[in-house]
Amino acid sequence: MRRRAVFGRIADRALALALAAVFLSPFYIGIIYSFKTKQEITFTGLAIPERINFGNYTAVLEDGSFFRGMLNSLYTTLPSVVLIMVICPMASYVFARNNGRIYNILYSLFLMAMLIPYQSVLLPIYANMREWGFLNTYTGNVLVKVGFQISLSILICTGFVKGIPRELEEAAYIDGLGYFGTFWRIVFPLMKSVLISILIINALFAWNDFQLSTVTLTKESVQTLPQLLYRYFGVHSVDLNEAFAAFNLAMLPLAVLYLLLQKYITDGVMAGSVKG
Amino acid sequence: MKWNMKNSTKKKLCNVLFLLPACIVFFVFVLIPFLEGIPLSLYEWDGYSDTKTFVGISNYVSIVKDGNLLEAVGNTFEFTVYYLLGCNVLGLMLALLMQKTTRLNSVLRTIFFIPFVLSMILASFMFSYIYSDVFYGIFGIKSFLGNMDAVNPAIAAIAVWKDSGYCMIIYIASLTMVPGEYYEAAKIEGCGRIQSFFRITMPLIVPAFTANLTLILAWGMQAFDYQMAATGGGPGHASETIGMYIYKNIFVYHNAGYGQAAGVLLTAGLAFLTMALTGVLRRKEVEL
Repeated sequence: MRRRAVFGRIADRALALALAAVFLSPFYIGIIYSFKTKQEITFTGLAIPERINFGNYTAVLEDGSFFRGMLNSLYTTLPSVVLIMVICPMASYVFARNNGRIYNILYSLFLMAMLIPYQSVLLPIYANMREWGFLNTYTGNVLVKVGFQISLSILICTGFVKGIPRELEEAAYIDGLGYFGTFWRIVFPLMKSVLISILIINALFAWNDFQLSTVTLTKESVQTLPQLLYRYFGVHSVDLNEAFAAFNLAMLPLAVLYLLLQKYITDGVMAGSVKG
Repeated sequence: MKWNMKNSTKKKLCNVLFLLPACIVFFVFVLIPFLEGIPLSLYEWDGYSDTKTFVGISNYVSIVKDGNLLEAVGNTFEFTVYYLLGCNVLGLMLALLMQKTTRLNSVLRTIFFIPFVLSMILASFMFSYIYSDVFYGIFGIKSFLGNMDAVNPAIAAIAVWKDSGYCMIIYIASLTMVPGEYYEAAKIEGCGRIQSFFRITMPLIVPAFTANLTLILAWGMQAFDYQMAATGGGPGHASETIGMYIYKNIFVYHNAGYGQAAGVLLTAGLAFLTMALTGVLRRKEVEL
C-alpha cells in the first residue's frame, strides 16, 4: 500500500515535469531561433546555438517602427492602469460600506457589463470617438480600455474592502479625519496587495489588447505593439530568426513584470473568480 | 456605527463623489454605447457617412436568409468546444498535480501561467511559425493552419496553451478550500483516489467549474485575435469566427447596420448560454 503511494507521487511529479517541458517548448524554440542566423537554423535546427548572435535583435530594434509601437503601448497602458487604480478603489469603498438599493443596483450593473461582448459595442464606440475627436488619440484609447476593465477591478476591490474591519475607520473618523481622510489615509494604504493585483491584471489587459485598439487607433503612428505585430506579420513573410527576436522583445516587459509580481496576479485571479 | 448616522446627507454626497469617476467612464464608454448599438442594428448604414436609412428588422431577416453567419457560428462553436474542454481538463489536471504548496510546485505553477502573459496576437504568430516551420521541419507535417479540417482545433490548441494556467489557478484556489478531513474519512471508508475525486472533490469545487466554464465560454464565443493573426479566417472561411464576421461587416465591407445586428444576436446568444450554464451548475453546488 505504502509503496504504491510513493510510486503514485513519483508518477505525478514526472507527469507535471513533462507537461512543464511541453508548455515551455515554444519559449525554448523562440529563444534558440532568435540567437541564430537563417543558415544556422537550417543546419542545426533546435540545438543550442554555438555562439550567441544578437544580429536579429539589433535588426528589429533598428527598424524604428518597433520602438514606436512599444512607446505607444506604454503611453496607453500606463495611464489606464493609474486611472483604474484610483477610481476603482474609490467606488469599491462605497459599494463595500453601503447597502442601499441604489448602490446594489449600480453594483450589479457593473457586474452584468462583464457579459457584454466587444463586438456589440465596436460600432457605437467608433462612431462616438469620431464625433468627439477621440479617434487616434491616446486619451480615447485609454478611456475605452478603462471602461471595459472597471467591472472586474471593482469586483476584486469590493470583495477586499469588505474584509477590512470597520473599527479602524470609526477610530479615524472620531479622530477627525473626515470621509476623504479616512479613505485616503486609512483604507487605501490597507489595500496595497489588492492594488498590486489589479495593477498587473490591468497592465496585462491594456498592453495586450488588440480589438479595442484596432477600432480606436487606426493611424499607424499611434498603434500599439499587438497592432504593429499584426500589421507586420500579416503582410510580410518574415524570416523565423528575426520574427522570434521581435516576439521575445514584445513579451519581455510583461514577462518581467509577471515574474516580479506573480504572487499578486494569482491572488487577483482567485479574488475575481471564486467570489462574485 | 454611530458616525454613520450623523451627517448622513454629507456622507451621501461623499459617496456620490466617490462613485462619480468610475460611473462616468463606465457609462460613457461602455453602457451607453452598448444601448446605442441596439437601435443602430435597425438601420442601413455604411458606418461613417451621415445618411442612415431606417430599415426595421430587415438586417436580421437578411442575416437569417444569407446563412453566412451560420458558418461563422459553426466555426466559433467548434473552436469554443475544443478551447473549453482543453483548458478545463488540462487546468484541473494541473491543479490536482500541483495542489500542495511545495517549492517545486510553485515553480511549476509559474511556468504553466507564463503563456497567459502573452497577447493573443503574439501567441498566434509564434504558433503559426511553429506549425509551419518547426513541425514541418521535424515531423514533416504540413501546417495544420492550412488544413480545413484541422484549423479550428489547431487554433484552439494555441488558446489552450495560453489559458490553461489561468484555469489551473482558479481550480487550485477551490481545491485548497476542501477540508482535509473529508479525504481522511473517505480513506478510512476504503475510497480509492479516483472514487474520492468523483465523490468528494468534484461536488465541492463546482463554484470553480462555474467560474472557469463561463469565463472560457465568453472568451471563446468572442474569439477574434487568434484567428485574425493565425489564419485571417482561412483557409477559405474555415476559421472565420462570429467576432471576425461582425468586425469585417462593420469596418471592412461597410455594412455596419448588418454587422451590428449580428453583434446584438451574439450578445443575446452569449447571455443565454451563460445563464443556462450557470443555472445548471448552480443546482449542483454543495454547501460546505
